[in-house]
Amino acid sequence: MPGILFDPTMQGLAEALTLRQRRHEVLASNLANVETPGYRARELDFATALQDAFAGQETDDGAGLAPRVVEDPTAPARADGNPVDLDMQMAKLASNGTGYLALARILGHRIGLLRQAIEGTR
Amino acid sequence: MDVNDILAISASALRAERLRLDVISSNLANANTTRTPEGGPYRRRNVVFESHMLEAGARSAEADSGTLASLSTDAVRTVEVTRVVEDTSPLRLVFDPGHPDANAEGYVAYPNVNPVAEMVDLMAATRAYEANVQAVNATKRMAEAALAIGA
Repeated sequence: MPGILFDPTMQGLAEALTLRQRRHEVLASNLANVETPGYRARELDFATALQDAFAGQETDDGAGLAPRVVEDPTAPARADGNPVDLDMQMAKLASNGTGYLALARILGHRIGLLRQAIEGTR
Repeated sequence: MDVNDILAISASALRAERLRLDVISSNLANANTTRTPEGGPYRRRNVVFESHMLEAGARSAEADSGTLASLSTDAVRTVEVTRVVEDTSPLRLVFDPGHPDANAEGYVAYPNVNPVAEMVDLMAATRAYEANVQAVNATKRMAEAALAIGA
């Protein structure tokens, strides 16, 4: 959707928002299964997704940016075979959510700038 | 996958933890019950949690995926209480010959409920419940922020 109004920055912001939402899904799933024996904590592979995005696959629609879900390598072991660490997951949930809010606000500001350009200063 | 699906994941956990709290309350309430409809003393009950893939119907038609491929169906899991099982560990025998339920040797079989262990479970279940409430709140804040873009 590139064009005059929706420049690459806005497109990137929108993609980052979607990526944050996908990560939120994974973290919510981890929290839901915090007491499920045998459940393995998962994490979105942000770094690889980002590298893939930079590495080309110059598709305009960003189809190459597919987030991968991996088992969380930092998860500690627990006796019931469930390595979900409540504190760590809550921290990740909070930081991911804050990142999402920040991105949403930046995107809002850019749209505000566009609106100002369209309407002029009054 | 939209906000409703994420809320469905958190809601499944809230329901499961609430059921666990029900069972713990029942265990604590019946810590000294020597008579049950099935006969014999009460036996401690336990819940079995099982993770499930999000129902196909619950997942949106991926129309929202826009520029990013959505997660695989295997990536996120809801949780369900599939069974409530009885704890088969031995009952607590207390010497009380005057009790109507005492056996020939004068021992009364009390439930195999350990109130301390139940309280610890109660706290763990409450914390897990609260964690999922936080997840719901975070989802709501994110959705509200998304709605406010450009407003």
